[in-house]
Amino acid sequence: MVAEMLAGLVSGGVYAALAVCIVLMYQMLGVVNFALGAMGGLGACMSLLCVRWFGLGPVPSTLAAVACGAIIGIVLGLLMARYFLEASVELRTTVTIAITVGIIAVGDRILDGATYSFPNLFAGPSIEIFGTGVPVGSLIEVAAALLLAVGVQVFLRRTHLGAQMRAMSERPITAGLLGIRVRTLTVMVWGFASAVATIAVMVVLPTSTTSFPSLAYLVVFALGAALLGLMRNMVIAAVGGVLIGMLQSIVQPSAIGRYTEAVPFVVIVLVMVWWRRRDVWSEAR
Amino acid sequence: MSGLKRASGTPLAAMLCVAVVLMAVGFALSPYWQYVGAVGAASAIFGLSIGLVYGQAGMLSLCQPSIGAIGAWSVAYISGERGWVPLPWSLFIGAIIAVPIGLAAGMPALRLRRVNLAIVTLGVVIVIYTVAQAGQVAGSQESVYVKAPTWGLAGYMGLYLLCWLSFTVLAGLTILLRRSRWGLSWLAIARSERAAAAMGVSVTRAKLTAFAVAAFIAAWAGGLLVAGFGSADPSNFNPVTVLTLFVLAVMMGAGYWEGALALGLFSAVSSALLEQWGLTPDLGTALFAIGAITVLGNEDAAFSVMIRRQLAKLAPRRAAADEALPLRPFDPVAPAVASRRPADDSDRTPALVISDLTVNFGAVTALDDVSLTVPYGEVVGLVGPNGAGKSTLVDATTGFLASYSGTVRVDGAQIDALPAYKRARVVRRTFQQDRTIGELTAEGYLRLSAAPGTTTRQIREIIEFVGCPHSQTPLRSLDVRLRRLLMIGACLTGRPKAILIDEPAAGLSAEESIDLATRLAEIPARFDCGLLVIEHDMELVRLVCTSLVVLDFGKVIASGPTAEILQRADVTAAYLGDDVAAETELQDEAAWIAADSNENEKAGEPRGR
Repeated sequence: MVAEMLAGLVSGGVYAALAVCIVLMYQMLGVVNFALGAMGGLGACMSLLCVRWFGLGPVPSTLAAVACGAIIGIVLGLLMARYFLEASVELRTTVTIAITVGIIAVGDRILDGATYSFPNLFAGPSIEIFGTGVPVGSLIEVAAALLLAVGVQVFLRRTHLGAQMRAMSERPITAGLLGIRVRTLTVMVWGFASAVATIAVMVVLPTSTTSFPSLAYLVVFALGAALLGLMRNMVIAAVGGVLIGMLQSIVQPSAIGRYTEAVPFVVIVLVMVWWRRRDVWSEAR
Repeated sequence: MSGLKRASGTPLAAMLCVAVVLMAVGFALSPYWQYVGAVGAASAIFGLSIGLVYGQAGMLSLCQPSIGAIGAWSVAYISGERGWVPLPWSLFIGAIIAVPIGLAAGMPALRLRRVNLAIVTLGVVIVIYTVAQAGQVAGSQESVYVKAPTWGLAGYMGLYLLCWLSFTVLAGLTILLRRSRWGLSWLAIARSERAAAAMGVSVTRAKLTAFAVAAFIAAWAGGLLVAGFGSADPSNFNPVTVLTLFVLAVMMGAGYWEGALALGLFSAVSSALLEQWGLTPDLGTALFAIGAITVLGNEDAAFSVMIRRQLAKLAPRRAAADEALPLRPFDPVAPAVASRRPADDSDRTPALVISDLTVNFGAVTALDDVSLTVPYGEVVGLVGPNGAGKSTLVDATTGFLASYSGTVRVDGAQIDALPAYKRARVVRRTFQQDRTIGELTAEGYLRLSAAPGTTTRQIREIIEFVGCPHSQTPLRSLDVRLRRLLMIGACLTGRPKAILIDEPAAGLSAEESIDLATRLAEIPARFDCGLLVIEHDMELVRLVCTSLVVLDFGKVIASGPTAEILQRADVTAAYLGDDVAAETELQDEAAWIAADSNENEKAGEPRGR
């Protein structure tokens, strides 16, 4: 059991990092970004192209991929800032669903069903916990995801820029009138989230199947984790992400192993409906 | 009912014409294009199911096409693996089997909304895809092969006809449902769940019926895919396919049948063309995504909405005759005199009795031991400064609060245990905000709100009574004043014993509010009920109300005949503050009017005084 739980840390850490970005974007920009996994996947594919086209080594191609991920985010951020600045949350979210579909089409083209080897970040040393060998890399990854959650939360609560961002999420127009550069901040958040997502996807790339849609679907579990944090609390979202990864890892070898992907959602739905059981009406009054 | 039939007759006839043409075209197509057309029809039916839940009922649910998998597996099992029932009939059985699954998928929607619902329903998509891929369900083994009916026709014509006949039947179903009570209730919950419940619509039932009907439709389409592909291919239900269908549904405006039809034709034909030109279908998907984003940037750009707008321009203006009617000033049977009171009603059980009502929001006591009575045939005014608890009292009385203590009796019967939509049978309310449903006509809106057995004639009489000259115009094109009046009219069609009207005159000019006053004063006698009016407009209160209850900080500080209450210094003080009242020593009218306009300025609603 413990061994399986620890094995789930890799994907758990990835879900956690993506979940933090989802909460960040929801809180700052009022959008639930369904496209985050696809964006990260597209960024990660760039490392592949860097190897294929320019023959870059693992480190430079990783850096190039992160930069590409950020650029993808910035381009989409510009699109959102230009056309959907005043749209409703649902509308923006629906746009990201369309973006997801579009990116998957492009990403599928790049990966083209072929298999490639990606640098494995967890090939390094491992330490023994409860009699199980755990790659140090996966511990670092989970720690990084949790640190990201705490860091972003503190940044938003304690810094001037964080305060500006919170103001922007509440009232974009008013924030703009107060001299806050709403568009610039929007683009920055999209770029940052996309870069983080790229790193997250690159972490799982060596261990997952190289079908592009499956990379894009990573976001589904991250969305579930973000939901557990009620789209508010990044730390709960991150912890939720790690737990979902562990849960999948526990279920995998069991009798219902075929349905590993489905299990977290049954749990999430039950938890959510319980937490929202008093939300009888759509509007407050 | 004749009005209803006429209203749904035009789209139904148009849809049938288009369907007949499409089916006839099939005979001229090559087998390849017949097959493409058949798959297109199945996609169009998926579009209908998405359009129903998202377009009509306004629920951001992504899982409708996935429910189609249930239909696919059922058909594969019944017609393929077991061979119990041949294909066209197993479609129906599969669709029925999917209904409980659709209901289960819809359960989270009772508490989760918008983006939360989108995430959870995406989870449903993943769950169903996982099950499909696990290979334990019927039709996923290659040995199962379901044969499509040929009906003695060459090529894929049998399949083509089966698919388009299915579309015709199911699109017809959605058109008829759109005008039914179910369909109206879907539009109502999309607009506002509270307003829907206030009209007597069960929000739970509306949501679940939407999910159930959509599941039936989607499962039918899933079954057709089995007829087309021969087996239940899991890739038909993979998340990318499902999300692409959703994106297309948004782009085409699948809430209307022609949007769903366009979705089917567009997706099938475009991928077939790309294939023929040697291009990857991915390109088509990327184009769909760009198209959908464009539509979302300009909501009216959805295909079906554009079509309807163009047709509306071409069509002879039926509404013109409607609009030619002048706004009829209301001619009351008796003048609006506040002191009028039917003498024979004094022994009758009051329409509404609220006793010892206490409401706490955490540490704040919003209402403290409030009691009031609204007799039949009377208009009682409920006044008090902002934050006094007036709207909370309306919420509590009509069942919109999770908890309160005290009792509410309507016509002698205690209603505290009833949910809001059941209370609406005896007590109705309006909202301060406009919560009418823009897509509906005045007649449709009042019909949704009407008590069972209300005739069209009665509805039209009420529309005339509230002074709305446009019974067939969509409410979104009416001004705020008319929509407010229709909200009151909607209360009347429910034939309640008591009506609670929340700030009906806000934003009206002095003239309009006097017109409103005459109509309000007429309601209790004409519709045999009691009326509680919350209003800051003291002119209106003075004209209409026989008695007043004054609330301040959740407590009743005064109650009694209107003229008497308006004289009292403590009432003025509650509105203006002690100092102002003492200093100015204004006579009540001036003070009240000042307070009134003050209120309205604060609310940002200029008054034409």
